[in-house]
Amino acid sequence: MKIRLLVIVAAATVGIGSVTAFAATMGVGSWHIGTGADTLTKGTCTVIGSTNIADEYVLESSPGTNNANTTTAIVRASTSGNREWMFVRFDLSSCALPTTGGADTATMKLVVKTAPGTARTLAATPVLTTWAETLTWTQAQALTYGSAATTTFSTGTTSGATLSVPVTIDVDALIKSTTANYGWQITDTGASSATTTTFNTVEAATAALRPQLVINYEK
Amino acid sequence: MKFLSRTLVICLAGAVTLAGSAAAATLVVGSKTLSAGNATTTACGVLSLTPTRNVDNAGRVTRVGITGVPLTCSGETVSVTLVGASNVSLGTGTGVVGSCTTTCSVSITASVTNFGTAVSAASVLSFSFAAVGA
Repeated sequence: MKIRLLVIVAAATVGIGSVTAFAATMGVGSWHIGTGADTLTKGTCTVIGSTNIADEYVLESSPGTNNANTTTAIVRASTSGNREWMFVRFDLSSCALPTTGGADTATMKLVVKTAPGTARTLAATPVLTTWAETLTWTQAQALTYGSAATTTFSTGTTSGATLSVPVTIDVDALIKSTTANYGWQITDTGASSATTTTFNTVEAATAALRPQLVINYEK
Repeated sequence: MKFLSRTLVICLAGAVTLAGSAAAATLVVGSKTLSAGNATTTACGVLSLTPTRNVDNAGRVTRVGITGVPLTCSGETVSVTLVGASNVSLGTGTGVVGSCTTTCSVSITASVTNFGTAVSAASVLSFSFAAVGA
């Protein structure tokens, strides 16, 4: 009898203690109280492959041409009519993340095919309207873009280097929303320059050279 | 029997200590006796809520939101704790459930006083939350 009673009391002690471990901010004396907890599942999803990625680049000097099926994409700043922009989009559906989830970190990885002699600063800006891999410079002028770049990053000067571009805030928002994902526009933020940065695209023969999106998520 | 009574007092005192305010709200602790009242501990049904958080581009928590809060929680204060490894609190924020007609929501923006501004989302392993009101 004594032992059974002690076990019940001890179990109550442990139970109450564990349930209210983080309820210490509630005021003593309140009469209306509820507590709960939600444990998260963490994981990593890497978006790869031509079925999940679309990319291309457009040239101001050839405004009606699309370059979707080339193995490289060029980015260049210029005020003399030959700017070049890259577009890249990742299909997040393969990660099967619920809208209650989110990105802890999301990193777009781009492999530099040919680096500039002097490092350039590039910007990744979210694209807010749909585009196809038949996109041309002229059509790109009609797209809607985010009001500011998500991030800027340096190209470095090393050909073959993998650049890690943080896009966490955009991917987190995409996971939580049901709005479509139109990827990013990559531009050179610098002043007029003939210097180009060339990236490998999803058409590159070697899989490791293709763009990737690495998402460390919670759900 | 005397031993049993003494043991019970010690164990219940331990329970009060661990339980914090939730149990202390309705327990009367005397020098030799403990008695329990009628606490309404799940009155607004927050046990099964699913908070979500937003991040900045560096992966730091910028806001915690809870939707689907029952109408019975309207006007109550919700406290959310970001819990990391080893059950460590990474930060706590509070918000008031606004008046609503069907289900309610709470949004707590990270600041110096709510969660802090440098909590990495990657280190948050769970949310612990509580609602309190009169």
